[in-house]
Amino acid sequence: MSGSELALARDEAVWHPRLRARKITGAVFVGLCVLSVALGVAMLAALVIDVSLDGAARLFSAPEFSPSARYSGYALAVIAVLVLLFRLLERRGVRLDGALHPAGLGALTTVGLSRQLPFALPWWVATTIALRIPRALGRLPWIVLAMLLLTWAVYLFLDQTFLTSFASRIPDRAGIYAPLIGTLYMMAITAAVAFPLGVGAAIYLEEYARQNWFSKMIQINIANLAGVPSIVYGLLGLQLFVRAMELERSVLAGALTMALLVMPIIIVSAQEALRAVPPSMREGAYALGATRWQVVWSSVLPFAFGGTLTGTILALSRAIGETAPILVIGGLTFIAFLPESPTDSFTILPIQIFNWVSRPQEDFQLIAAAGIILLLLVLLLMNSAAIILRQRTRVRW
Amino acid sequence: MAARQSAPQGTSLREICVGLWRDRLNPSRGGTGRETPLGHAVHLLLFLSATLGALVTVGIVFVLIFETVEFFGVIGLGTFFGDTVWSPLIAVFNETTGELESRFGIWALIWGTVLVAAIAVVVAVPVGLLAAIFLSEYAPPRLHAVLKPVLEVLAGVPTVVYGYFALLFVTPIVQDLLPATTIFNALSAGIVMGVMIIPMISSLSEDAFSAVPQSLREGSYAMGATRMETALRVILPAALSGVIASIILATSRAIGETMIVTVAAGQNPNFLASPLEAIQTMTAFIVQVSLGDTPAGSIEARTLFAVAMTLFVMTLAMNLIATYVRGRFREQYE
Repeated sequence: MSGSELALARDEAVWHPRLRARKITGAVFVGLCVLSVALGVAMLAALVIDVSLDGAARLFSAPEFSPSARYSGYALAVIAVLVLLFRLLERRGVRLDGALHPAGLGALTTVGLSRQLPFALPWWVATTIALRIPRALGRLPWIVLAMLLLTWAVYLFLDQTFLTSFASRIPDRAGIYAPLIGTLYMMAITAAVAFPLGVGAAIYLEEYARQNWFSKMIQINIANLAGVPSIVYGLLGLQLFVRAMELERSVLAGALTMALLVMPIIIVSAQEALRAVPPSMREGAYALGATRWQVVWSSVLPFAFGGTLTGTILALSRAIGETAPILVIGGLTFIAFLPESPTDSFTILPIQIFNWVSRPQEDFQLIAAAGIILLLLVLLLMNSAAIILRQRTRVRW
Repeated sequence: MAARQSAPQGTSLREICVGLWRDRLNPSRGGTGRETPLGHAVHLLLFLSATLGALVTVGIVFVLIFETVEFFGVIGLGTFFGDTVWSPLIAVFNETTGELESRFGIWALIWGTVLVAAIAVVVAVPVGLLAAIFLSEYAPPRLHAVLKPVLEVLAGVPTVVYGYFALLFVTPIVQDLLPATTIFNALSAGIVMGVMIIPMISSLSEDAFSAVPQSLREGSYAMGATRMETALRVILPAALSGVIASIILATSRAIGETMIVTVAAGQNPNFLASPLEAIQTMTAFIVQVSLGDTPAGSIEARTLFAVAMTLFVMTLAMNLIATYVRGRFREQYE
């Protein structure tokens, strides 16, 4: 066969009609796959954008705004963005000098925005310092600094009446103070109850329990508890805490119900963290004559603590968004005061959001969106904390 | 752990208690070894917290059964499962008896629940499976590292937020496309619930796909198969048990979901209602009663527990089936 015949045969093989059809089908299939991933991401984007557009009006409609507050807000936002940009460029190996130096740019921008030297000067100093500190301290302080600056900038633009007002029948005066404090109060008690119990159960199952029907039963139980609808926990809390223990519709009853809800999640994640500690750590400690509890306390827990804490934060962030169980035990009440003791009645963020969503007036639905933004911000904060914690406490064996 | 392997296999509670006591100081039999009083106290405390985990299930079952038995003492299983009209709080006209009375036909609520869950599954299964195939078979590692957490955020969004999204974003769009749709309808609640369970199907299925050994893929490519043929005819059948388990678990999650349906699907228990009409699910009914002022101990308050029992049995059965499927039909490699 000559060279040209070979090439012809190869072309025929490549462009054989059936092979071509198969390749086209394959391409269409990849398209479908990409489309479905894109659909999921698009849904998330649509949700975030929809909520932000609806909620921003109430959250950021600042009626009286002093010029200095506005300028410092602008300046802080600019500095935060510049800090991020500077680090990004620096990591890519780009050197910025002279007039292009971000510090100089920051000062220029602040002067341009404020048109007032008294404001521009301190910000020029702040910019310079802000851009120098991260270089000296490494990566994490830089992230924290940028986050703090951004938070501060956002805070200056916030309509603070939304955060500090109680519920109201007038949409413009309705605020989210009581549910915000209620959520924090309830989650603090939930964490205080669920963390020790969950971690204790995990330690027992991983370090103490023997392979018998009792530990197997507990294990199966915990696996199944994770699949029980959250509203069923609400009914358990209603009968057990609200009625049998006569806690009424209090913070304590809500917190204990939530603790039961998050305990299985905490147990499972703590078990995973304990399992990741290699047996040689335990054997080494036993060889030195340590008792079992000493082994667990000094050679296992320190290395499993990061993973355990991460799992707990993630479990609590799930509990913060749960509405149904508290709705069942607490009812939908109009609360215009703060809970002062664990036996006071209370409301939480998702319930207040539900209350606003289910009202017919459109104004209240927009306020619900503002509440949702707040809730999502809290969740974002908790999840970032968990991710940072996981990365910083990860131990490679 | 070494101690665990050498531990005796107990059969009865008494044998285990005797064994625990006898071996409490013997490390090679699973005991604590040399132990301080503090160590023993800690051991007891840890044991008690583990027991509490098991007691939660006992508590749930006990609470539900107790009130449900009281309920069926008055209403009767025949009425509960033999009627299709659900109106326990308001008396309605009964055609057969010709009287105004409360009706307790659970099928109206089951219809609503199953309808919404079915719509959710129809939305989530194709999207979730294709996304899982993309992530496990096509996506380069860096894209995978970005896309997977983004998809999982969908599962972390609070459900009341999804309810808002369904009512104020999806419903207007659905109404534009299908003008017969009412404000509260099963369709938009179902679609949004589908979005919520996409990450459940995609990440559990992806775990199943990546558990399939690399040699199967390589064998398939060596035979001249394209990537799609490998994914659909080799990887998918090999991981089928995990995929089916993920779908069942996601369905069970959809059945137990509360806030989306409470906000967006309405409060009208309606047997054989179309997806474009308002319906009521079991969970939404529980919320409706909880928001009202039904006195504890009344028959209305007890319907709550009968409905919750039905819900609990359905989700528990599905979770057990999922566990069984994953264990029983798993393809064994190596």
